[in-house]
Amino acid sequence: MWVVVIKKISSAIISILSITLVIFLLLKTANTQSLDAILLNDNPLSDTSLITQYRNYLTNIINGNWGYSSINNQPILQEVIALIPATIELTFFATLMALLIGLIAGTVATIFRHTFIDFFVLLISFVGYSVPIFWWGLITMLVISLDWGLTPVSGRIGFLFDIEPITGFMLVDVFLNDVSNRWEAIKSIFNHLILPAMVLATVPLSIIARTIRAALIEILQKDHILSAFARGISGVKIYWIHAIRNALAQSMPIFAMQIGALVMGAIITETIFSWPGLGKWLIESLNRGDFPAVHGSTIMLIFIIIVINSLLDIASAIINPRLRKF
Amino acid sequence: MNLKACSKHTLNPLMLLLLVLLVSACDNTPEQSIMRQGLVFCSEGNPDTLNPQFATSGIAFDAGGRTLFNRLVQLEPGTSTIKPSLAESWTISEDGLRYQFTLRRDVQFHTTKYFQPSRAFNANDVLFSFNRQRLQAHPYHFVSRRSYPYFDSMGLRELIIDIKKIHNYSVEFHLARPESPFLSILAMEFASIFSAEYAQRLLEEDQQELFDLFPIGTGPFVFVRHVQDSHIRFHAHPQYYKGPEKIKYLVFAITPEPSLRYARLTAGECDVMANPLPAYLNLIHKNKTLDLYQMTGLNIGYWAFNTTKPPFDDIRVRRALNHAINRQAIIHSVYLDSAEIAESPLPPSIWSHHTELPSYTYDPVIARKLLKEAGIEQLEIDIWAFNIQRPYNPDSVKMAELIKRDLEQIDIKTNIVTLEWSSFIHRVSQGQHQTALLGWTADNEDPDHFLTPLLTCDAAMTGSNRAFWCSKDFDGHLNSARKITDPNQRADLYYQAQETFKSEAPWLTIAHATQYIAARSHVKNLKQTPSGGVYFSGVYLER
Repeated sequence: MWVVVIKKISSAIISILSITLVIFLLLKTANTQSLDAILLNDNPLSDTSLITQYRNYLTNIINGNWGYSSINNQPILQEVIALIPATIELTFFATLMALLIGLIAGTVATIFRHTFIDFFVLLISFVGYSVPIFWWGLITMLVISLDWGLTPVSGRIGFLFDIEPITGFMLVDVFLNDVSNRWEAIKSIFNHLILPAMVLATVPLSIIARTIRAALIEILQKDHILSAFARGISGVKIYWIHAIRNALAQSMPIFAMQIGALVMGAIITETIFSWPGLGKWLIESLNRGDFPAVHGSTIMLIFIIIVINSLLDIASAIINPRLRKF
Repeated sequence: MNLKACSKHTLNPLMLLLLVLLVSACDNTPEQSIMRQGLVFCSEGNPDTLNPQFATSGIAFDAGGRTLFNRLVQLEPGTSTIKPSLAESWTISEDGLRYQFTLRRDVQFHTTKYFQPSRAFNANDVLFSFNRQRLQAHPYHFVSRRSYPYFDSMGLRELIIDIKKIHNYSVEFHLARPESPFLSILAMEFASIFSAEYAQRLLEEDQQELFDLFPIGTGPFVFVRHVQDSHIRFHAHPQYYKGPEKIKYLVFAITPEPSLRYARLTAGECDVMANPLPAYLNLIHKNKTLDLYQMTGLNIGYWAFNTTKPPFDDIRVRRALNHAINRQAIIHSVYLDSAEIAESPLPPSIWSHHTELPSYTYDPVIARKLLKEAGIEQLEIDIWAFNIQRPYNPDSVKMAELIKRDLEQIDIKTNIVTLEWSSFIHRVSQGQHQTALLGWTADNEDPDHFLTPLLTCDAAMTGSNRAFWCSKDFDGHLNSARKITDPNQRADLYYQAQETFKSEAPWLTIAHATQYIAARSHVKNLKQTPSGGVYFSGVYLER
C-alpha cells in the first residue's frame, strides 16, 4: 500500500517538475520583461547557464516568489490564493452534482436497460457530452435567468450582502461573518451557485452516467451477481452492496480524468457567469497582457490538477486492491 | 410578512409546520430592508485607483472622487456655477493673484475600521492635499509611485506659488498669474481634500502605501472594500456635513461586458447601469420598469496620431488621414446615430465652441494626393483600440474596423491592436502607440479643461496629450486666454486655438456622443455629471 502512495507522490513531483521545465523553457523563448522578477537570479550577468537559471526559477516558485502583476503591482501568489477558493467552491459543487446525478442516471438507465428510459438517458448524456460549454452556459443564462427569472445572472452572491472574505469560501465566510440576515445570504449564495455549477457539471455528468451504466451492466452479468439473484436476495441490496460499489471502484480512474475537464470547464464557466475565480482572472489577465498573472494562474491550475489526480489515484488504490499492483 | 401575522396562528400539529415555514419567511424582513436601503451600480470597468489625484478616467472619478471626497468648492450639477463646499466663502484679491478661503468647521472625516479621526477637517488637510501634488519634497509625493496627471497637465505646479494657512479655518492660495478658471479647477475631482491626520498616522507606522488603497475622505460615502474586477462597497457617511445619504449602502458591481450589464439591470441585480449600448436604448425605452436618462455629452471621441513618430510628424500625412475617413458611416454604425460629427475638440454646448471651422471632407482622392506629396507610397499603421465601452465611444474595435476599411481604399495597411482598458491607458500615456482611438469627457464646462489637458505641450510631458502634439501658437492662445476674465476676449482666443488645431490636424475629431444611463424606476433623483458619470449623493429609492 505505502509503495503505491510513494510511487504516486513521486510521479506527481516528476510531472510538476517537468511541467515547470516546459514552462520555464517557453518563458525563456518568449523573453517577457515582466517575468524577469521570477526568472532572473540575483546576479544575472555573472551566471548565464540555463541549469542555474532553471534552479533559480524553481526556487522562486517554491519560495512563493511568483512575481508581481504588471497592472497593479500586487504579488501574484497573494492574488492567486485570494481567488482560488471561489474556483474550488464552484468546482466542488459541480463535482458533487455530477457524481450524484450521474450515479442516479446511470443506475436508473441500467435498471431499465434497453427501454425508453435507458434510451432517453443515453441520448441526453450524449448531447450533454457533446455540447460546447460556452454555448450551453449562455443559453441556460438566457433562458433560466433572463427569461424565467429563476436564478441571478452572474456573480457569487447578491451585491448588497456584505460578506468579508476570511477563508474565501462564501459558504464558510457566511458563518464567520456577523451577518444579520444569514439565511437569506445562504439562499442567495445557492441561487448564484446552482446555474454555473450545473453548466460546469454537464460534461462530467454525462461521462459519469455512461461509465456507471457500462460498468454496472458488465458487473450484473458476473456469476456472483447472477447467483445472488438466483438466491432471491432483494434487488436493492444487490445493486447497492454488490453492483454499484464495484462499479464505482472500477470507474474511479475515469472520474479522476474528469478533474482536468472540470478545471478547464471552470475557466469558461467563470468567464460566462462573471464568477470571480482563478479562471476568469486568467482570461482577463490574458486580455490585459498581464503575463505574471497568466503564468501564476496557469501554474496554480496545473498544480491543482496534478495534486487532485494523485490523491484520487491513491484513493482508488485504497478502494480497489487490484490497482495497488501498478 | 411581519411578526404579528406570524403570532396569530394557534398551535396544532398541522399549524406547527405552517408556523415553521412562516418563521423562516419572517427572517426575510432584515434582508428586505437591506435591499430597500442599498443601491447597486453596474459600472463599466475596474478603476485603476480610487485616489482622484492619480486618476484620468471617469470610471475612477465615479468610484473615488465623487463618492469619497469633497472639494473646497463644487459645481452646481448641470451648470457651470461655482458653489461653496468645504469652503464656506472666499475672497479674490483685486489683482487676481490671491484667493482666500474660509473653511467650514463642521466637516468630519470618515471613521472606518482602519482609521478613526480625532479631529474635524481643517486647513492642514487642504495644505496636505495640494502640497502632496505640488512639492517633490513632500513625504507623500512619491508614495504609490504614480504621477499627478491633472495637476501637472493644467500647469498648477507653476501657477500656485504658495499655499498659506492663515489660521485653522482659513487658507490662502498665491498664484503666479491671474487665472480666470481657477475656481472651477478647484471644483475638479483631483483637487479633493484628504485627511492629513490619516497620512501622518500611516507615516508614523511606516505604511504610507495604504493611504491610496484604503482612502479616507469627507464625502457622502465611506469606503468598505474593493475586490479587484468584482465590486467596490461603500456605506453612507453618518456624519456627512450635508446630512447622511438616504441610501445606506452603495455597491459598484464592476461589469465591463455591456450585454451582461444590461442583463443585470433587467434582472434587477443592479439598480443603475452605466452607459447602455446604443443597441439597447430602444429596449430600455420600452421597458416600463426602467428609466433612461440622457444628456448632450460634454465629450469628444477622436483618433490621435502620435506626432512624435514618423510618418505622423508630417502634417500632410495627418491631413490625408483626416480626409480618408468616412465619419458619417462611423456615426451611423458605431453610435447608431446617437452622436454628431465633431469638427472641433470642443463640443457644441461649451461656450466658445467654433461653429465655422473648416471641415476635412471625406475624399479618398485628396487623401491619396496628400500622401503622394508627402512621398509615401507604402504605409502600414497600427490602430490601438480598447475592449470596453466608453461614453464617447461605444465600440472602439468596430470603429477601428471601419477606419481600416476606409484606409484600404487609399492603400494603407492597418493592424488593429485591442488592449484591455487599464493597460491601454497606461501604454498610451507612455506614447507606445502609433495611433489610438481615444476620447475625453469634460469635468466642467470651461473650454480650458478640454484643450489644456489634451493638447498642450505640458500635457505632452505627462502623457495626457495622447498625440504628443506641441504647438507654440496653440499654447500661446490658451495661456493668454487664462489671464483674461472677459468671456468675449477669451472666446476669441479659443477660436484661434481651435483653428490652429484644425489646420495642424493632430487628431481626427470623430464624434460628440449623447450620454445615457439607465436605472430601475424606483431610483429617484439620479443626476448625470457632464462627464457621463453619476451623482449618487441625494439619490433615494421609492418602492
